Amino acid sequence: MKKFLIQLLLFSIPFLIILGVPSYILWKSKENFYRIDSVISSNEKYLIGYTYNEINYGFLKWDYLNTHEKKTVWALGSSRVLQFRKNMFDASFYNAGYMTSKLNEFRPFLKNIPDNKLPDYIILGLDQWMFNDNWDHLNVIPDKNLWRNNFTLYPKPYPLYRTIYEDIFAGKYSFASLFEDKTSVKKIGLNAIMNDTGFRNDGSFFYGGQIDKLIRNDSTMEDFNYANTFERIKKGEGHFEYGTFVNNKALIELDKILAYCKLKKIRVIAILPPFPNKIFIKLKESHHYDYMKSIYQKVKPIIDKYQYEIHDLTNISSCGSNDFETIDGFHGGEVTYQKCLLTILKSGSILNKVATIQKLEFDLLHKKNNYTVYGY
Amino acid sequence: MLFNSTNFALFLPVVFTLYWFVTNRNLKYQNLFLLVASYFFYACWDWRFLFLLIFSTLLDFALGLKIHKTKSQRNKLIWLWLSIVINLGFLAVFKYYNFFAESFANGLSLIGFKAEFITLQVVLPVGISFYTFHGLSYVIDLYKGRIEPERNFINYSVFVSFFPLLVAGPIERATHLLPQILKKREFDYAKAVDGLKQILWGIFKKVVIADNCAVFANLIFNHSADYNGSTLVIGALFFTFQIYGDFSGYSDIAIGVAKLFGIDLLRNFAFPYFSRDNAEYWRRWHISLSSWFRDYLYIPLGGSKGGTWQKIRNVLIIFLLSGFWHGANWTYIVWGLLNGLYVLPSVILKTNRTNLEIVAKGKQLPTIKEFFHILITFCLTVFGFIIFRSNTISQAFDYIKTIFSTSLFTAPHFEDSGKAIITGWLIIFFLIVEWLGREQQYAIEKLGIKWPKPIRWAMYYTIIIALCYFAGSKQQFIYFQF
Repeated sequence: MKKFLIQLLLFSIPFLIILGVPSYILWKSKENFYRIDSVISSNEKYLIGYTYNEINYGFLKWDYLNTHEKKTVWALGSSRVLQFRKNMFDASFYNAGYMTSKLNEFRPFLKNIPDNKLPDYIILGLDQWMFNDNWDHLNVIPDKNLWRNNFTLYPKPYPLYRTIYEDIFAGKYSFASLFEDKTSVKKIGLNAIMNDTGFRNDGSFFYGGQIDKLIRNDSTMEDFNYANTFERIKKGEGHFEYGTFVNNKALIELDKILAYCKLKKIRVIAILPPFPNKIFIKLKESHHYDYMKSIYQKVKPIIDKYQYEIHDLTNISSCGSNDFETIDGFHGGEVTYQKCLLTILKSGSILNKVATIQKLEFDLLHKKNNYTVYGY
Repeated sequence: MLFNSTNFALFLPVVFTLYWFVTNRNLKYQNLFLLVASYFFYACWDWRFLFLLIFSTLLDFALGLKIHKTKSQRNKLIWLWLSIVINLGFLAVFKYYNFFAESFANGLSLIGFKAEFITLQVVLPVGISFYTFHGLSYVIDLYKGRIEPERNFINYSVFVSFFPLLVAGPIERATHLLPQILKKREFDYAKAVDGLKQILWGIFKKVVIADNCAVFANLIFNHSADYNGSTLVIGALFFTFQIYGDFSGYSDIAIGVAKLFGIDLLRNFAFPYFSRDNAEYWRRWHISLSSWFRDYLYIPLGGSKGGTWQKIRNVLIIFLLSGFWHGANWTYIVWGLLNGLYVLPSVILKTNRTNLEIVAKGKQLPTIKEFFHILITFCLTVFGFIIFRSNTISQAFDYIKTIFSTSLFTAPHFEDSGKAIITGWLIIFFLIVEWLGREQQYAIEKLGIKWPKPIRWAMYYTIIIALCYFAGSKQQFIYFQF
């Protein structure tokens, strides 16, 4: 037995090292082996950006909204509302974006939040593809505890560790950056540490690394010159599935969402989020996306029924922004969204009660760069 | 708890350490500990079915004692049948009730009657087909006087529930396993090393071969109507290697794990895809089930003795039940019967025991004749697996119809075919290693045994790295559903 154990130990040493390296990276970066509850409830400035555990974002936002005091304004939707920031509003704000990428996730998400924590205003991001008749995403009913229970504390070595090694060999990591933290911001997760990317305390998303690359015109960045988005359009995939008609089931679901908001006395300001001009033109000229052309007309009566607002910002030019202010093929930057908000306010929106045109314009004049108004 | 999971990777070393160090090599404690570990292992799947397992164990234990104690042959037979009826009754309820109810209702509707049966919304208890057969082998062997009854419930429970074989076999015999459980076990270095090697090879088969093949087999079988004949052939080939890698991989892991605890389990696979005829194939595929049916059903029915019609009847009954054992679906029944038809000519012509030894024993390559025999047997096997894998008979029929259409001669086309080519190369590598090791219990048993240790270890490291690098997406073991 002694001989067996010694041989086994000797044989295992290389594997202990092999397993040790990814485990150390995950531990050191707080990608795993680290609970974020205490960080969320504290007032410490943080940047939470996971690489392998994006699933934890659901818990992050759910926990924040449940443990903090009620916020007056929310942005709710997919990643395409994440650029709305606390600084843009005079009232308290939280960005609950990235929680609902499908229409049938809105109501379960809202129902997961106690009534006394629900906001007075919701900026509701309605991604255009949510209405694609050919993207039937409404059949699967989301788990009602989806956001509550989704937290990965311990990694599953297989196949995660293989991915980590692939990323190491692909040069995605710099070990030195694991130990460099020059900022006063608490960084949690590899994306936060390596790419300076992640969620801020107000729930909005900071594209630090991506913005640096955009400024440098670095061709290694994701979706450089929208190449990836154009490829999706070419193939008709990744949210750009072809579709002719607006999905009636989506309209019915939207009606239910609005009815629920009405019931909870929440005022809804719906938006159709912006695409860069090049993408907008490509979609418009294509015969594959006819459903997009009639979304506004179909949605407007439902919105009107509840006396809410809808703002069609599909064309980025409609709010005075342009392609040089976008992050990628379907995400505008903070400057774009500040301009969108200004457009909404100037149209006489109810949001004028919680945001000021003059302040936003002043801030825009003093923006950090083409992509950020307020920096971190 | 899957064998290829992190949980099992933690469970096994803990149980191994406690087993050899804490039980102080005391047989009583060893067996008690194995039982606790086995029940824990089973409860990790679904603790509610643990009670069913314990009840089934208690039943056969008690009836075994009754059979032994009873003097009258007639009463012995009654106790035996009671055990058979209750054991198979569990199987019937959990596994076959819905199938019978639906099939009966469909049958009535064909002759104009409308009948609605209540279907049961129950999950199939994992491993029920396996532990039921363990229990049956015990009571039948007792009845036949092949073994003495086990009077210690713990020892008997370990025989039924020993965790490596609990959920997917090999299906053990009381005559083989029980004596090992009753004997004091000392740690055997060579056996433990052998066990680790077999586990390694089993994981390779499962994770690299089966899981990679599964991606394409699932894709093609789940959308078979969308593909041309040549793609469907590729789908069938992928499934053939998936099921072999999956089940023989599982068996290797189970046997290897048992060796770590000083216990030898029955061999379950003996390189079946190198068989020269279908009778040989069935001596090499899922050996523990085939031999179970042979010993407890085929031979009592008269085996290959008697007239031609009796032989035909016996063979078809065995294969029909073997197919049905796999699940409550007509596809399994037809698959079983088809294999019966494959074997039938050799049974009638008494050539079924021609190829008892492994092909090309002591040689490097088979003869051309042997090669073609292997190829034909393999093609028949692949054909059978199309029916086995299909969801319904009509899907299988359409699948086969498309294969035998002109689209067979068009180029195959499916998503991610680049990865499929890599999987194809992995299968070729796997077949070469299996061929080189075909005279052993498992392919790498003696591979590199005479090499210097650093080179031998380098080979094992290479396999482990290949495991990490080529691992397919994690899939459930196919035979867990049976």
